[in-house]
Parts: sequence; C-alpha cells; structure tokens
Amino acid sequence: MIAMGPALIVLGVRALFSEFSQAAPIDILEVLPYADYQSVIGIIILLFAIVLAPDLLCPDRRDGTLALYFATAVGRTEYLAGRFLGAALPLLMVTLVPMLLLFAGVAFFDESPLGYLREEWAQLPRMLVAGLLLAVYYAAVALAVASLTERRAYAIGGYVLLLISSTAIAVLIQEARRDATYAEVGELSALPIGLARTLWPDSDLGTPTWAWAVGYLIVVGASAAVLLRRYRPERL
Amino acid sequence: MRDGDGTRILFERVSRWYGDTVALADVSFDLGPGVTGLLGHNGAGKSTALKLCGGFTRPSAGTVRVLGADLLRDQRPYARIGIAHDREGLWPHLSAQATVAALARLRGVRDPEAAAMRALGLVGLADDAGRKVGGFSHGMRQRVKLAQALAHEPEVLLLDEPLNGLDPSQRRTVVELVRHLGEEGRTVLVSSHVLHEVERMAPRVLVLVDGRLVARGTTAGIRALIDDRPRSFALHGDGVRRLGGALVAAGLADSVALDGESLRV
Repeated sequence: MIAMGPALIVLGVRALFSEFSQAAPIDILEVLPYADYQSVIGIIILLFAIVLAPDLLCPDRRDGTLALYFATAVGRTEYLAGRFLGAALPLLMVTLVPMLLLFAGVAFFDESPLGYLREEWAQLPRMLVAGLLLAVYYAAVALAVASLTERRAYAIGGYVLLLISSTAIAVLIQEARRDATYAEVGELSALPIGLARTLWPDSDLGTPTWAWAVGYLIVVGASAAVLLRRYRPERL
Repeated sequence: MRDGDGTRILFERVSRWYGDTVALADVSFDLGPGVTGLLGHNGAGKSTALKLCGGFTRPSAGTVRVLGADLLRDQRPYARIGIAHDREGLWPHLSAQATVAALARLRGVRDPEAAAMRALGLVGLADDAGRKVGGFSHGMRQRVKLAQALAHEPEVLLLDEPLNGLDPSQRRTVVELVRHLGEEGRTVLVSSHVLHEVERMAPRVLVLVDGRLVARGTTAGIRALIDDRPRSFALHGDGVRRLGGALVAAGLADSVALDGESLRV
C-alpha cells in the first residue's frame, strides 16, 4: 500500500481538483512520470526486500532444518528456486502493481480512456520488464546476503551495509573524478532503477544502457553464485 | 535402482577429510536388507559415514551408492530413503503431524496426513500429534524425526543415534521398531556408540575407530572379540600387593605391576 502511495496521491489530487482544473487539467505524468516512479518508491522497495529475504533463509539454517528438506526429493537448486520465488513475487507486487495502478488512473482520467489504452499500450510491457528487473535484482542480492548468516539481524545489517557502502564509494569516485560517468553503476541500491529507467525513451541518464546492463548482470550473477556456493552439500 | 545382488548401500574405498583432519579413511562395505549397527566412539566417523550415505557431503575419494544411485547427482531415490538425523532440528511452530505430513508430501506420499498419523503411532506419539514440536522434550523430538523417516515406508533407513534422549521405555519401543523394520526386509543403518544398544537392534555391526573400519560381522562376534581382549585395571588400597599375587597364582591375571601405592593388573 505504501508503494502505491505516490500514485494514489497524484490520482487523488487529480480527482479532487478535476472540477477546478477543467480548463487546464493537471497532467499526472508530468508530476509523476512512469520512468521516475520506481526511483520515487526506491527506498520502500529496499525496505521490503530487507524485511522479506532474511525470513526466507535464516530460520532454516538457524533451526537446522535444511537437512530435512534435502533428505526428501527436494534438490538444492529447487529449494533455492522456491525461496527466490518467495522473495521475487511479493517484490513484484511492490515494483509492478503501483505502476499499473498509475497507468489505470491516467487512462481513467483521460478524455478517451480507450483511446489512451490504444495509444499507450506500449507502456505496459515496459512496466512489466521494469518491475521484473527490480524484483529479480533485490531478491537475489537480499537472499545472497541472508544466505551468509543464520541471524536475521546480521542479514539486515549486511544488506544495508552493502548497499550504503557501495553507494558511498560510487559517490566519492564521482566527486573525485568528474569524468567517471560510469561510477553511478556502482551504486548497488540504485543500479536496477537506473537500468529500468532506460526502458523509457525520453529518460536521459548519461550512462549508456549497456553499462547499466553489464552492472546488473554482474551483481545478479554474483548473488546467484554466492547462493549456490552457500548451499553446496559441504556447506550444510 | 537396486543392485542385482541385493546391495542397497555401497561404500567403495571411501575417504573423507576436512583440511588436515581425516574423518573417514578407505572404508568399504556393502549392505543389503536387515539392520546393521554402525558402532564407534564420538568422533570415530559414524556421522560422516551417515552423511555420505545420505548425500549430504561428497567423498574426498571413493564411491558411495545408495539404491544404486549417487544421491549428490540424482535426488529421485530420496523418495525411497528415510533419514533421521541426531543433531538437525525441526520446525518449532509446526505440530508433529504437520511436520511429518509436510515431509511425506515432499516425498510424494499420496495421503501424507494419514501416513503421518501412522508413523507417529509407530513411535508412540499419536496422542501428541497435534501439539507443536517447539514444546516437545528432546526424546519426543527424536521420535518425530524417526516418524518423518518412516512415513513414506522407505526401503533404506539411515538412523543417527536414534536412542539419544529417550527414556528406557521409549528405548524399548524404538529398539523393537528398528528390529521389526529389519525383519520386514528394509535396509537399516543405525549408528550408536554403545555396543549393548546396537546389539539389541542389529544382528550385524560395522565398527569404526578413528575413521577406519576396524571390524565387521555379527554383534555376537564383535562382543566375543571385545571380551577376549586383555584389559588393564589399577587397584588402590591396603593389601593390593597380596591381591596381585593371588590373582596371578589363580591364573586370573596375565601380569601385575606395582605403580607407587597402586597395583596395575
């Protein structure tokens, strides 16, 4: 619900003042463009992932119940895939649903809702891909950190530390070297949001799409490698 | 999956080491139907051997096969294997029945709730099936672990110290149950560090000492070997010198030696 807040506020304001602003109606997307939505709710997505992921992995390691799973026909990759879906699907509710709500609201307030849908339908696959990019990224990173400890508090602390320290380092590099354009890719907290914004043609970030994509693949790949390594038979 | 000669568990020159520590060294055996005890003191390599059997760790050298498969590569035989760990935990917020049923479901049992109740009945926990495991004693948790290993009626059972934490009456129940499972033709490998416990359950035994398989055979044979082994005692008190002389004269001691105030026989 909190993630839907910005969309609900903008749409609510549009609804409240529709009578007064009939002559020059509020342009919802000028106030809150689709491309910017995820960066507006970025902190909420981060907090959601922080709360969600440790609960999916830490208790099994702490209570010593991993061997119970693996003594059934459940394989280690199946277990991890299940946990990943357990993190990514709820995250998708936060990364995708609010944008769909905004799209529906904009269509509703348009003079011709069906005409808007016909003209702007291409926004929907963009939203879907952007939502998936964020959900996959934050789920993978949060689970990788959570896999390193059996304590929920350590997992949360580690996740926050990783994201804050990487952002601090990236900002310092950018401050020190003005030509270090690609350094913002190193901000792990904002990397997927940067990549998702490139899906909208009018967004201008300076850093090319390929740099965001490479950074994204490296982080998600490294997270997957950490997870698989932590769940090797020898590590249980 | 079962080997043609009836072998269900096969160890071929298996070694497992952790850094410089050798947990298991060049161990070979094969097991068919029936109960086999895995005997050894703490740290002898029993748990490592069971972990290798269960596919929870990789051998550093050699081959492990259970029901003809390498469980590290092929998970399907797990549906025919029951494993009860000594140290592993249970989900404290689940009831005994929910725990056993959940694991039975993962193993593809058609009616997991009924299978769970049947297995809990076998270990004497039918009346407590609805209680949360978090409130159980150590002995009750041990029996829940045993029940989850039995619920899918496996061909092979790996039981790690199943009598730990049980009171004498519960021990009797579990001993009878394990013997019965062997008589049904299941292959049961049960670990313990107490010979008299093992011999009540298992007609055969494997003895591990410092990671090596030092003896295998019938429990009666192993008992005879132990009884035949010379033992030494230290005697303290007045008149130990006289007692030593009498023991040697009667042929009850091979040798005696005075060690300060005590006599070593």
